[in-house]
Amino acid sequence: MLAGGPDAVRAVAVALPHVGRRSIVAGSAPATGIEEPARRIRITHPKEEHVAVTLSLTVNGKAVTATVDPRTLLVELIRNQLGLTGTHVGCDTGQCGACTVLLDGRAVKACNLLAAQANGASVTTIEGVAAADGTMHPMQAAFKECHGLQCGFCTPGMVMSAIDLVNRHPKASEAAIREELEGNLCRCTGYHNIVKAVQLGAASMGK
Amino acid sequence: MYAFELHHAKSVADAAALLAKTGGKALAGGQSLVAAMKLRLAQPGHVVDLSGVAELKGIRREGDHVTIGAMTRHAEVASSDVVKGAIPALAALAEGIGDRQVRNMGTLGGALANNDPAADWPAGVLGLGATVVTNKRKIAADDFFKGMYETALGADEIIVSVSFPVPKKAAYAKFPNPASRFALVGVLVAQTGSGVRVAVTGAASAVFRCKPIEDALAKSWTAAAAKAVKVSATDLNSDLHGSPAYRAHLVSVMAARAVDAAR
Ligand SMILES: Cc1cc2nc3c(=O)[nH]c(=O)nc-3n(C[C@H](O)[C@H](O)[C@H](O)COP(=O)(O)OP(=O)(O)OC[C@H]3O[C@@H](n4cnc5c(N)ncnc54)[C@H](O)[C@@H]3O)c2cc1C
Ligand code: FES
Ligand code: FES
Repeated sequence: MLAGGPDAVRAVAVALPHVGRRSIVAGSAPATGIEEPARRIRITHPKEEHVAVTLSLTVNGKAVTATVDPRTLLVELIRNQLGLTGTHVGCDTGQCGACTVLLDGRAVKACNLLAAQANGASVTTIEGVAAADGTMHPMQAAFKECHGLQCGFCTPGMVMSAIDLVNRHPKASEAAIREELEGNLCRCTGYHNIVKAVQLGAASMGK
Repeated sequence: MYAFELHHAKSVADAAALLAKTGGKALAGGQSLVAAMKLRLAQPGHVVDLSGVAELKGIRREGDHVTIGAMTRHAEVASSDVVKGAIPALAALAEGIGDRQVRNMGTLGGALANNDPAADWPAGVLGLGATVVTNKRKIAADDFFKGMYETALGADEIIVSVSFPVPKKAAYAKFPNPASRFALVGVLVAQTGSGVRVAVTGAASAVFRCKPIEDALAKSWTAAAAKAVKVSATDLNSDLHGSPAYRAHLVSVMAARAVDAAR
């Protein structure tokens, strides 16, 4: 265990907000030390130790630099550090697709990859799809128009998957849409209106 | 997830050296490893990211073989014109893995090293009699899969690519678990240069070749011949999704469907 003291704990809590005080100050001994401040932050727990990593990526068109514990998930970086809470966490086990974002244009589940896996990449979240003046993306508008949501929890992930789908298959059939949305679960709608929304969204995206 | 130190490998040699030095684990798409680490089923102290290693990427046709780099994602295999042209069965297998988001991250090398008992790629590799090329040696598919989540790979051995001989005919048919999309039973049938091969995933603790169906199809390459084989239920998996007898039955049924689809 490394020496640390309260200042070091505070510094780490600032640099790594998602780690949380509990895990930093857990146990009787303060378990933190810093070497080469800002770039290499070492936290030692009774069983845990890491060296922070600095990531550079583009999120919704803006350059982002973040220093994170390597075990930070992409969805934790997006929600907790960048404050973009439109990306939801439903299952946290890679099943439901609520956390879907685009990584270099490809739909991925942000709860099932490390933030470090997005280093150097371009990430688009639901906050990044509308036009600069706030006009909804055609796929968002289609979900509204077709009543493709009820509680809305799955919707950000559905919209991101649908955009990836239409980019690859602008003329996807109804059956293909159902097949392609396999990785996104909805507890409310029964999918019918979601499929209609994706069809309408595809038509408007093609215009 | 327990803490770990992250390293970025620049080459295969670099990755192997990092794994040997740290005793860590390689990271490919993370679709199995990150999930296992979150559940603390895997707790590596060091993780070596392979995503920056150019040597591990790409798909190429080399004579009567198709070689696929270990870091090639399932979605890339599914949409590859080379694969669709030479071995359409493999493109279809890759397209049936999990869901879109998983296929956009998960890789061939990760799936093989992981050797999940219900994974699809092991059936493709064993069924086609492919060769797994590592940084140290070439391993025939028949020698690669050792048991549940177990392979012939050493701790600092890295899969570089897999070389698939182009079969005369092949197809993969899977009965997916309705929730996870992993194979409840998946069967790859192939007419290869070295005879008929039939590989089964999902049914047992690891992928295996089904000799009785191979023999039946060597005599008569028909769906009826595959379906007529009564597969033994001994040592097959039992869980809430299916009994050993149900899985044994499914092996013949999926083999028959694959024969019908083979081209
Ligand atoms: C929701 C969901 C559904 C899924 N459904 C299916 C399915 O239907 N069928 C199916 O087959 N799979 C399925 N998978 C698993 C998926 O295919 C994984 O992508 C795959 O098993 C692992 O590949 P990866 O690239 O993500 O590897 P990782 O998770 O990064 O690594 C897995 C293991 O392989 C090792 N490894 C990785 N690359 C190499 C290499 N080049 N050399 C040596 N070792 C290496 C790692 O150290 C680790 O131990 C699913 C996964 C999820 C999350
Ligand atoms: S929260 Fe990521 S898949 Fe459910
Ligand atoms: S609208 Fe409620 S989960 Fe889909």
